[in-house]
Amino acid sequence: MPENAWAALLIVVLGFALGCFYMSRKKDRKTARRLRKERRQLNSGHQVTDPEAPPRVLSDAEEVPEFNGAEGVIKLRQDLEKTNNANATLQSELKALGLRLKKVQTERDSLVKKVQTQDEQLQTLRAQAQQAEIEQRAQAKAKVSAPVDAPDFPPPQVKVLTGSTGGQWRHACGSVHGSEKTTDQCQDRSQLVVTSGGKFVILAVADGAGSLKYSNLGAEEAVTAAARVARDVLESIESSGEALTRQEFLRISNKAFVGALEAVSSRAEREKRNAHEYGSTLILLIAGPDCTACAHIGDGRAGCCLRDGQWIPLLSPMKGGEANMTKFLTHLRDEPGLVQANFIPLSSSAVFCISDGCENASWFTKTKSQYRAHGPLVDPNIPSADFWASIAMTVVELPGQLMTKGMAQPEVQNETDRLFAQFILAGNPTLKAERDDKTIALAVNLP
Amino acid sequence: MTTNPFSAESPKNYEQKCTVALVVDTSGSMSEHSRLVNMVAGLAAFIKEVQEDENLKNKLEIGIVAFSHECRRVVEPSLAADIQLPELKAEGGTFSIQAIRAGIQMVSDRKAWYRTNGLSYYRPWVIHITDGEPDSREFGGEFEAKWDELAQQIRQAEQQKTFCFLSLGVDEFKPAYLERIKQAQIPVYKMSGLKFTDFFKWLSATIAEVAKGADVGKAVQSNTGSWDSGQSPS
Repeated sequence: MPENAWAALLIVVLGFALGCFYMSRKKDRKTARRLRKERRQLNSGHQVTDPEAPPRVLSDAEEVPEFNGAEGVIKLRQDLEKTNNANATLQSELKALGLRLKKVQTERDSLVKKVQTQDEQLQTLRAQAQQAEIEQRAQAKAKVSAPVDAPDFPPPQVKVLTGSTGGQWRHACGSVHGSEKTTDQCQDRSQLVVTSGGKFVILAVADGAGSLKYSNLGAEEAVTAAARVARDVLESIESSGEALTRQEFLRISNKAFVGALEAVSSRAEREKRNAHEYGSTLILLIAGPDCTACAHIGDGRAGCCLRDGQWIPLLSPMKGGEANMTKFLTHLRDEPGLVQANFIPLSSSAVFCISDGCENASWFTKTKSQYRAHGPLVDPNIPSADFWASIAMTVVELPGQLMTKGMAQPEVQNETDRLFAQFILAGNPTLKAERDDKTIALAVNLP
Repeated sequence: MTTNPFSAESPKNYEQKCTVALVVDTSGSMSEHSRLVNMVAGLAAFIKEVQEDENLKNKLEIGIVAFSHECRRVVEPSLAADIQLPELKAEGGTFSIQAIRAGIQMVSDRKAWYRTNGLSYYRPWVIHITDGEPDSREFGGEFEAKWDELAQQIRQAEQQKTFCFLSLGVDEFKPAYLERIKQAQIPVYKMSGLKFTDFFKWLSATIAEVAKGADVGKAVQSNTGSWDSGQSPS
């Protein structure tokens, strides 16, 4: 073989070997480019899953290594698998986080709704509380405000009685039915007695309980016994020429009330009934040259006009929560200290007592307070000077007028009492409107 | 006829008061046979009569509780001259227990007001007017127990003299329930026809009698007149 042929063969072999080496390197480069592309895509994938994370940039150190043959490819594949696994884990975590976020959002919505409801409830409660406060204030205002139509507290009642009775007691007394009452009989009773010497006058008034069957009989027994006992003692004082002292009056009143209770109890016993059924109030008023005194159980009023013209009360009525609740003589058995007594060491121009049926007509009983115009109403317990002076003057003048018409002395008193009873029944609109039984006993003594 | 020589002018006083709480049924059945119309006319006549009565016009304070399935204080206790009757509509059930309690509360509130203002007062009245049977739906399973509780409260009030309670049955009312809540002295009344005006006339006279101390039992049983059917047990 010629030398040229060997040289040409050598060149062909070398050229083939170089071509093979070149093709192998080209294939590795292609693989490296593909891997680099895949990694970039993976990096881009991180950006999608975590929008907050900054874009990942491969550092120089992380530069895809130069192709290192089959080992490099295996390593890169392992890396890729790891990355895929990590990606799957992240995706799973992301899904879980998404679910949790949804749950938290639902809970948040529910709480917001709850808070809104509670806010509304709170606002309603606040409005209610505000309304309640307004009402409470209005009620408190109503509580402290006295009725606007109530009359004012009366001024001092001063009126001097004029005329003369020659130092004698002149009087008028009567008990009448309630104006429109058609059943039963009058349950009030009264007695007016002047002692034989003419010095003392005794007024006794009893108001039988409307709800008790025999209270009219009890009232009758009470005034009769009390007046009799007082008269006996006063006539003995009168004949001895002594003055009536406070101690003596207390002794008389005690004796008169015990005597009255005994009389009522005896009657109940005789009639085989319970003494309670005979319940009535009792007022005993005594006036003499040096004193004016009163004792009572229950309601009604008593008063006098002193010589200087002052009209004053002599008792405080015993009243319960309701208007017609009071104490009765029959309660004295269980309450020995029940009698209230009042003694004034002064003589009077006029003395008078009434059952509660007449109190609105003759007394200041319910007016505004003298201290607080808008406060609770009060009971001034002051006899009306206008009312009493007017009828007292008639009691002074009427006997003379009747006698000038030719009427004899006993008839004069009967006629006076008859006219007086008419007056009590319907003498003015207030008396006429009153449906309760009414009693007035009045005695006047002017020099 | 000669003029009486006695004459005198009376002082001015604030009148002591008596409260009457009218607990009136305005349930749907009251629209039948013009019952409600008659009752309202009777109420108007009652108020007018009290206004014209010298004794009662400044004494009687009237309050009204209207009830069906709910109850309302439609008129607070006031003098007759100050009352304006509201329009009453017949509708709903007959929830009586709360209504009667509201009537009792009304008189209790007024008594407290009297006491606070230093006023004396007469024993108040609660008047219950109905044409039917109380509705047990008011308290479901507890209705009977609540009715007994109410009955006890009313009986205690009689013993303690807190208030007078009167029930008036109209037309087809069922007396059995009303019998359970009556006071011993005051029977359940059954109205003859729809004579509300006569009933209220009798009521004002009775209240005036009791106010002056008359026995309650005796006062309520006298002269009931044409409005009372006479079938009420006494």
